[in-house]
Amino acid sequence: MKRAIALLLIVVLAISIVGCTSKEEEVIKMGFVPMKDGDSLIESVEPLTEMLSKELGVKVEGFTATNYVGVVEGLGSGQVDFGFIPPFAYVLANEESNAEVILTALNKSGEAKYRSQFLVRKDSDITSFSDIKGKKVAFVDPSSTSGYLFPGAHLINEGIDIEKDIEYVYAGGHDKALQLLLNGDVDVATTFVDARDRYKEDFPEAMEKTEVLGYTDYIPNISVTVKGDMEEELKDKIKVALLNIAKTEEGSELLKTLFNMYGFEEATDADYDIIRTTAKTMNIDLKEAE
Amino acid sequence: MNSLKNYIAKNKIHKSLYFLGAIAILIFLGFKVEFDFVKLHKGIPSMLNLFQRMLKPNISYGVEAFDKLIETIQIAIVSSILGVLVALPFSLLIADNIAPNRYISAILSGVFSFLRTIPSLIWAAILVSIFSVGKFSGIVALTIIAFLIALKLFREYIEGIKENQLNSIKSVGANSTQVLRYCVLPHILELSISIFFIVLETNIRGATILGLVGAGGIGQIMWRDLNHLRYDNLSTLILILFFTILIIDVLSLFVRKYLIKKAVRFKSIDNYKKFQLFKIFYIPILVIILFLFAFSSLNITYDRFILGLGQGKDVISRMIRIDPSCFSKLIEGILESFFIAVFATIVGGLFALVLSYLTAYNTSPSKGVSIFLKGVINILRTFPPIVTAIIFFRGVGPGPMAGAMALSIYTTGVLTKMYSEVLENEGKNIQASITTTGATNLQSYRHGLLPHTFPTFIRLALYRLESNIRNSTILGVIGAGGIGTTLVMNIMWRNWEKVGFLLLGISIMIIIIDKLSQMVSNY
Repeated sequence: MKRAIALLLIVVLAISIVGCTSKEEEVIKMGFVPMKDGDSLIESVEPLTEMLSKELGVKVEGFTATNYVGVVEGLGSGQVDFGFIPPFAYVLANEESNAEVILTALNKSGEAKYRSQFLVRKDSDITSFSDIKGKKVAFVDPSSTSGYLFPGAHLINEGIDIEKDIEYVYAGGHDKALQLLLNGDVDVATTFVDARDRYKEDFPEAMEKTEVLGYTDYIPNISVTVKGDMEEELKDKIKVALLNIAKTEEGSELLKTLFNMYGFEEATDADYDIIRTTAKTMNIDLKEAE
Repeated sequence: MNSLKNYIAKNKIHKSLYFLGAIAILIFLGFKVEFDFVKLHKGIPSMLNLFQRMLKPNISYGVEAFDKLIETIQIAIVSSILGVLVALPFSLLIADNIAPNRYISAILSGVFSFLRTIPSLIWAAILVSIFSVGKFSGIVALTIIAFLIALKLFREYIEGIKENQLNSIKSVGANSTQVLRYCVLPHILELSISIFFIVLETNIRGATILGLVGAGGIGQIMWRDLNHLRYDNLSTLILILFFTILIIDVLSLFVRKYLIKKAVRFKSIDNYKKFQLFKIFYIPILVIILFLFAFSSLNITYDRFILGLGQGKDVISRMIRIDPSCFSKLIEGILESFFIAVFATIVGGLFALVLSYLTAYNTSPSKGVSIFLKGVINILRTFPPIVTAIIFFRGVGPGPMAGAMALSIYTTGVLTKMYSEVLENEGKNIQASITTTGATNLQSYRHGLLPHTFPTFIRLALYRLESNIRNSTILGVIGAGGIGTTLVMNIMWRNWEKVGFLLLGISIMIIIIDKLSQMVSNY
């Protein structure tokens, strides 16, 4: 028994050696959740964090994730200081922990917004939204803003009850929604504008075989969101640093080629009200039941 | 006398060396996964906060989710039976000790090891191409997974059949089919039932991935609730899964007990013969019904199927043309995944050794403790690692530590459950023979049961290691370290050439681990 206790002590000691040697150094942690609708694959955020570290004079550590839940929770607990997160994730983070949006990125056409499209095959008999009744629709997945939330709300506003009037499936990706449409498994597919172009290598016939039935409302672009309890000073510093980077030639080139961002624009919470109303239309309750 | 003393002393030194070695490895891994006690301690309040939000399950939502559960169970049962049935003949081909041809066995087991490393996301991409979205894709995906798991379990079991048993049958002049019929199969058929239940459980848990192939079921709404941060709904679903798995557990216990009883129930040889005849008829019928059920959920035309096959072929042929441009990313990610998995396996293993003692009803100091811990362990197992990872992520932030902690907890749950069952299946005599010398209950575990079952424990742990590596590739999705982020992004972008390369890297790692664990378990 004594020996067992001794062993246990050694283990605890050993682990604490690991545990306590980490240096206390001030770093700013940045999360990056790329939009699925962007044009470039973001594998590493290092170039961006290096520039930010230089601008801010504090070390910035970045990481990427394909799903936003971790980053939103990290913002909530203060483990992540700021992040590039999709608009819907911002609304969730704001609801949960008063996280605050400071900037939004501009896309190729210089806009801070994008939208999604309803695609149909050219040979189909669907020419207006009312024809969709009784047809099969492919959404992307239930967590997708451009592949479910906005298109779904659009259909509801067109007077279609998505639970009763149509049959729908979740394709699991914008590419797969397009594929289902081309293969004839569904009659309508919802994707960002323009998935046909992004995946033209895989589906070269997409452009000639399909056409756009309509577009959804505009969706705000990716947001730069800071954690709720960040000091005003740091908040401004991050904002200025990002704007500065976008101004320099080197920085803007890098943002363009690696991150598909063509500059930043100041954003306020009100810009994201459209997400909240859309979520409401779709009957998505952002608050937990008390 | 002297030599005995020497032996004891040497043994002690050996043991301490092994132990120190293990500690050194653990410290090294701790550094690699950025384990940090201070961070963990500081993160506790925010983790508790998130956990508390899960403590308010939304009962009315449970009713809504019930349909989805039934769908999931249906898919899981069908795919588990199909998977086990298909795995059986293949396992006879690849088990080292009875394989008819060494080369076929080597080639097949290589292929299956490779297939086992393919993450479900990639199966999804290929299957959706071929069969469109829907139940059928889900059944096929889970059947493949069930097949691969069952195959591995069967194979290990067959290879565990003692050489002298096989030889004794051969010595009476049995040819290889007769060896199969009278020595191997009787073992396996009993085993099939328990493997079926293991696979069924895995498949129900795997339902969380079913949503990805658009197959519906409980996985889809779980993923949705997670993405909407509806932790109240999420915990409801986890509770539902918990009870489902509990029921399966009880059912499995019941069925296995029934089978054992039944084996001695035949009073006359006639009865036995009748039963055999009955078996010959009802098994094929059952199989046919299952296949019919599976295919009835498939509603695509022949042309569509051919079109899909072509697209599936395109994806695969692009994957074969690997693009090694992301080499440094691969090495970095794979090493991180590897460290996370090994850390989780060792930590989980250590906890499991202690917890199993308290959990197994034949060693546990009290029945109450045993039952309580059984409940806790089942809950730990039901929490999908990704949800646990999010909780830890909230506490300790980005990086491999969150993933390592989440997998450690999951591994603790699974290993404790498996190992405590091993302990429970041991005969009373080992324990009894030691307690008669005046040893305490703990000592009888430490010096009797533990050394006796330790090889099994190591085998279970190595098996967990492999599935931990696969799990750790998924954790990258939320930013909890490992190769997952890169892999998922490339799948999303349909960069199949890069996906092919990443897969190759992951497979090589898993196959090396597989070989190592075979060496260790033989040793």
